[in-house]
Amino acid sequence: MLHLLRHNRSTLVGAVLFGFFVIVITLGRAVYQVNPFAVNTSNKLAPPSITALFGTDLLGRDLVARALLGGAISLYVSVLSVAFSMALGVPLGLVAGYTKGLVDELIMRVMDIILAFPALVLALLIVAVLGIGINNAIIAIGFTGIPVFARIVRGVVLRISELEYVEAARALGFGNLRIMVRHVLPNVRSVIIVQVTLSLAAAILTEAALSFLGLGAPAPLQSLGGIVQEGFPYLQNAWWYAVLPGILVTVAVLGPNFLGDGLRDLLDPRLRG
Amino acid sequence: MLLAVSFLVYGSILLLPGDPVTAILGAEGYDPVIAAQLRQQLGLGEPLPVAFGKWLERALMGDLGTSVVLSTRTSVSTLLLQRLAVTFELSVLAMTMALTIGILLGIVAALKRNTKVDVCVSMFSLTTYSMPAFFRGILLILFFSIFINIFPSGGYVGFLVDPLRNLKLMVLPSLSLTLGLMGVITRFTRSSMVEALQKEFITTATAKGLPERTIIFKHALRNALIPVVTISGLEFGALMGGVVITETVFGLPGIGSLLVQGILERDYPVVQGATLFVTVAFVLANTAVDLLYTLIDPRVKLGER
Amino acid sequence: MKAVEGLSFDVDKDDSLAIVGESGCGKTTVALSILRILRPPGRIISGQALFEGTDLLTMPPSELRRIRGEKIGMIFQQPQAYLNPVLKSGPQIAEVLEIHRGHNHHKAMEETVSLLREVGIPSPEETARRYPFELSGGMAQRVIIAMALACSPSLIIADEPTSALDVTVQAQILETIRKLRERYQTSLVLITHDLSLAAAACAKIIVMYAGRLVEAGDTDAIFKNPKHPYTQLLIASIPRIHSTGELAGIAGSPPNLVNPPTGCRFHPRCPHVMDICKSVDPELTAAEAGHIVACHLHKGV
Repeated sequence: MLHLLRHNRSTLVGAVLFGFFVIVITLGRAVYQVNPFAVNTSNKLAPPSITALFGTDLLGRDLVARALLGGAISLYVSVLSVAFSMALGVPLGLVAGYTKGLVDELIMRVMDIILAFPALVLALLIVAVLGIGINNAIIAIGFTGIPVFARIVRGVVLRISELEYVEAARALGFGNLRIMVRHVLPNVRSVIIVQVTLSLAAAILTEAALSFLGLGAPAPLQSLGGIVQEGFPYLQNAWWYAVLPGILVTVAVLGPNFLGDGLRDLLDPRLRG
Repeated sequence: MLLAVSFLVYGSILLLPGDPVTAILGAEGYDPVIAAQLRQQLGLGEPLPVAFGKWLERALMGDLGTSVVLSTRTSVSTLLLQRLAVTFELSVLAMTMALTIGILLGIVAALKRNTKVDVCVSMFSLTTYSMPAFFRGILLILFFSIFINIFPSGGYVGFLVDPLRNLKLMVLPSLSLTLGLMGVITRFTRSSMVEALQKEFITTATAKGLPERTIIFKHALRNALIPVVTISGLEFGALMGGVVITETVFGLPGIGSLLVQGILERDYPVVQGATLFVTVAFVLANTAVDLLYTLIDPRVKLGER
Repeated sequence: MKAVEGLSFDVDKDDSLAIVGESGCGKTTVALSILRILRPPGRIISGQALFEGTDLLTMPPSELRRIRGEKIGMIFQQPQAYLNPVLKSGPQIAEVLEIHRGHNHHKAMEETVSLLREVGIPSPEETARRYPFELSGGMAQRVIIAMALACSPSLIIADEPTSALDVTVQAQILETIRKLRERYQTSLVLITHDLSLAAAACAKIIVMYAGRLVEAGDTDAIFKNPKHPYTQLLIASIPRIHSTGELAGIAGSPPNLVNPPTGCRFHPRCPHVMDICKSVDPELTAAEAGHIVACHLHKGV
């Protein structure tokens, strides 16, 4: 796998960006030992300085510290959402592709219905019903991502099960489950890897959108989107308040996007420009 | 499909923890009269299919229930209609610009593939596409409203009231949406064009002595645009989501911001109405794209032999 | 890698020349190079393509554009792939007339219909309104022929025009080409791997092997007196109706042009190979009048 990273520039850039982001977020707080919750009302909305690298927020809290924390939360929610999508989407896709017939139809119809909603709107609806909170955000975002995984997994399964060696395995009397695990699953793996990167990018964006609207992880543990929401009214005088977390989100999304692009080019030469 | 979607929108209210009506009105706002009205409106206490049927019937006749916000007891449909123009204008502007610029850039990138121009275009689209919608809006406001005051940063004026001011107000919001949509369209057009230009019939066109512009636009592009049309349908979904955010950022009184407001105020009928509206629009848009696709690709239209 | 090296041939007015060789011998590269429609990474390194006195290879693109389609027409191998699937057949022919003759669309379409009739399509008006995928292989190829002949070019280059078609249709297409050539006195350069096809259609033949010219001459001369062992084997491998026994083939496979054999490129497969063949590349010499060959067996008359 590592040699893949070296040969394709896109993948390399993506991996570096994303790796950088993750490392900064996870280790940053150990290095930058400032308390993100330390309120200091005498130093509100201060511009960047030596003591506060990116200034302070409306309650005097250090913005870099808050951004690092926010980044961690954004990442947490996004990663878990993708895991949720996969946990439901992949098995559904496998079942649909392998059993075909009525079950397949049914599953795919449900997937189509989910896809009939614009992603953000569906997430909003789910949050409206379930209420605001971190777990609900994970469920909401994760739910919107299920059909993508189901579809691509199903596609691979359909393609592979027509291949001769699967027919042969079946003729030899191997059980269905065994066939699925030994023959189908490995092929599904590469498709899923590409999709994970792309879904992660989408999840981070949706999570940021939700928090920006005030519907994501609630204060004081806001994610980056939430911090932008806080900083938005102060755009005129303290633009860094909203811009810093925004840039961080962009970097966080660029990483997986580059990575996914590069991986897709590598794994599917037809799409190469 | 539409039926399923509306059912889901309607049915989701039943997933509210506890008693829906109490949850909506909250402890303070609990007025028995309004509660009873709401209960009847939402069809609670009746079997689900019946309740859904009645709700649907009323919806089709234009009655989507009444907003629960106590200060303004307006009907949801009224609210939607009032705000429709804004969202419509924003969407149309954004999508048109995204398609025009996106396709043109895609063509340029394809023609100059693997040159600096191509790489720049790719980088640019990838970056704008990776930014959250609100951030694009924020950056635009920062540069074109705060740092250099060309465009206003928010508010709305009807087109018929003051066309010039209206357009001025719409520039930044639609641009922020366009930049996001463009990314996908550009990349898709590029790869589609590159593929089309390598096809054999392009060799024939060259051998016939056709001028380069004809070959690119008449022969290659016609083929390349077909998958781009399909992707545009999907981009409508991103448009809808983006509209919600952009209206919030720029303070535009559209259906998107109505939806957000409804959620924050727990005004459930509004949420139902707005969600239904946006989703139905998306489904219709996709259906239109499907139809368009069958029209422009003769192989689909006449059925391949 | 050099696809073609040291190739030279002439075609006179109303003449017909076949370039024969196995797949990968470079014949298609030659065809595409003449009109400079070779795709990268292919490149023309050196040479001349003199057409009616001017070198096509150094012509400015705007002039070349006028020659293409108007003075020289091309026919390709897979008709369906070489027609634009989203445009109707008629307009694809008409645009040649519109561009080169300046006709308006209406006039161009009228002429298209008569062109289609000439190439032997039974209901030309209807066919003109059809899309390529609605046509059979033979019909599509006729459309391509009509397209190539639209401006009555002096030369037609046909690259494997019948290889993708059924055998029965092949004969018909050949016949169509022959009749049209007669009527318009068009020269023909036919590229094919099928020697018998070349013999049926052309007065002169060039045999190529591994990017080189190995034998050239009048069709009759080549068939009666093939000099190069490769040509001889090719002729021997043509199935004959009344023969019994096995079909003769040519042992071995075409060489890898990235690393070609030393000396004569055919030597690994040649039944008459001599020591000198392995180290020295034979030059083209005249075996008899109008018949040249590159082989150490024939060192001049």
